[in-house]
Amino acid sequence: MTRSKAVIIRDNIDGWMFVLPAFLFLLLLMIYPIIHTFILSFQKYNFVYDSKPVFVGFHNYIKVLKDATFKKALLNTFYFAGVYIPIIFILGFFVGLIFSRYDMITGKLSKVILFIPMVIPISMSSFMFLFMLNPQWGIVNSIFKDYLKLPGLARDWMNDTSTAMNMILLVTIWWRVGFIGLLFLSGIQAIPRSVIEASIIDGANAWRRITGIILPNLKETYMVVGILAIVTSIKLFAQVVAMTGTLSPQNAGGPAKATLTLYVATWKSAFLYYDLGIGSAMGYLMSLIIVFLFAVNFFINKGEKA
Amino acid sequence: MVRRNKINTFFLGFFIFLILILFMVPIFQTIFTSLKTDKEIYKVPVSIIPHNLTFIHYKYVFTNLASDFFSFFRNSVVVTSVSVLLILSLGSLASFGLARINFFGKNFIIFFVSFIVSIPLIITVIPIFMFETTFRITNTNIGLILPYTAVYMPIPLFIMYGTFLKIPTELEESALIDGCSRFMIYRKIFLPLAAGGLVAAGIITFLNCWGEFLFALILTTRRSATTLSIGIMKINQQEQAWALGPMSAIMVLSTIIPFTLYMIFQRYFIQGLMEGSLKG
Repeated sequence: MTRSKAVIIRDNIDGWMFVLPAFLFLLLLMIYPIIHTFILSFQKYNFVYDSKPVFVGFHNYIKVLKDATFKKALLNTFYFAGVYIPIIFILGFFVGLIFSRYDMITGKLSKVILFIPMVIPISMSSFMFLFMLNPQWGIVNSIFKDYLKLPGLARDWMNDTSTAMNMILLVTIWWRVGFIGLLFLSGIQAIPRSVIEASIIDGANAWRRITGIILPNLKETYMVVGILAIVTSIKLFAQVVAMTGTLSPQNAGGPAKATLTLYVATWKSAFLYYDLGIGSAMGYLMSLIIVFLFAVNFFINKGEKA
Repeated sequence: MVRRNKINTFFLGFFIFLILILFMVPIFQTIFTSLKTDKEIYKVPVSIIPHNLTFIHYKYVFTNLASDFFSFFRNSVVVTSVSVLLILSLGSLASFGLARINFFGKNFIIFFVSFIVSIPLIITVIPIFMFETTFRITNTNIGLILPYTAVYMPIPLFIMYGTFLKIPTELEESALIDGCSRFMIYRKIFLPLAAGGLVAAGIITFLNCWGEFLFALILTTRRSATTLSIGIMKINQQEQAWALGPMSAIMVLSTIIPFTLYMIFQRYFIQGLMEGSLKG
């Protein structure tokens, strides 16, 4: 069907009339800031001391890249991603697998339960864990000391540089595992029933069925879960601030920078030290890392397809 | 063979049950702590299930912490509900346009919206902070509603876009021939048919705004303007040494609204969340 000129013009006007209000919001509050931050990243601008931003070229980027704090934040973020991504893949897969075998009334109830962490604001979830990990009155230490009689395992979880980051991992996994599990479940359920039944008739055991049929058929799920896990790792912020910076924002990322992530470091330099130029440069470096990880994720999952 | 399967199913069920109990520990622990007496909270060994139930901490929140708690609560309700309404109205208009009308620049907008989903939000916060300081709207509800409406627009927009795409074209064509305007078609035909998608988009937006952390942390430094998710940190700072009882009570109270909504619209929530993530 060819459309007459009048219809085309009317469609264009109508279309833009519908889209314009939302588009304006996004333009003013997302696109303009993204561009402005890009410009700021090449300027020296302290919001408190400097009256006007001064153009300094790549100075901010060089300063950030040479900064030991930034390197520490980068290492911490990669440590988090390196532990979080494999664990969420494995746990999510098992949650999906178990529920694909066991989808009865209890299955529905479990779905409701696994989603509850998504409903609780993340700062509240962090506080829940913070209270359970309290060295004196927290349930975790009490279970180790008084119930299991293993006082050696009790410690000051959030003030110990070797455990603080792992506790943040714990909250994050608790928060996300139900959702990731359901993504795997929907991926497993999308595999045609006949394929799985055929393998049962052929005498494949459960292990063969998982490795031979289910795992290779989840390409799209890997892609989506990969993207979500990367975003969760790089955007690691609220958990850290709530769990380490609750008494004073200056402490966020502690103890001794053990939980300082890129996001927290960016926030600190922009909004605690008001160095907007440095903060903007860090924000853009972080975005570059996300783009890089997305590309890696894309090529890994594409390569497997071939 | 059948017998073995039954036993397997039983053990699998038991195993799942154990995992779910473990999974629920943080939530039960918080609810229980909010109901324990102070004496029991600060006693070693920590009791797992409270011996004497008491509402003393809730009373404390409603009396001693009342001014703070109710102002946080009011801010959360105002900011969240206005943002949800704005996002649903502007977002459904835009997704109707994108899904049902052919116009120049449409693919660009779809690409553009999916691009902004993946950028780290802190990039947008810095100029928004400068702009709000210039116009003196930090520490106001509007100062949060504006960024929330932009930031949480893309995912509901994609959910509604998907719902509108699924509606058959015949209805629309006959209405157009009858001389209905596009806006009438959107309001009288599409909105009622897409109710499920709207509810899904609404509930996800609600939860996102209710728990939002970054913007609320940066744009509301005064207690009178901040929301619950940041307010809880301020109360913890003020109450000094770990007031576990009142803090737990606040956590329970501030999760009641999102939790009730979740239980009512649970089906839409899960469906919407899956669709949103698969498209985004």
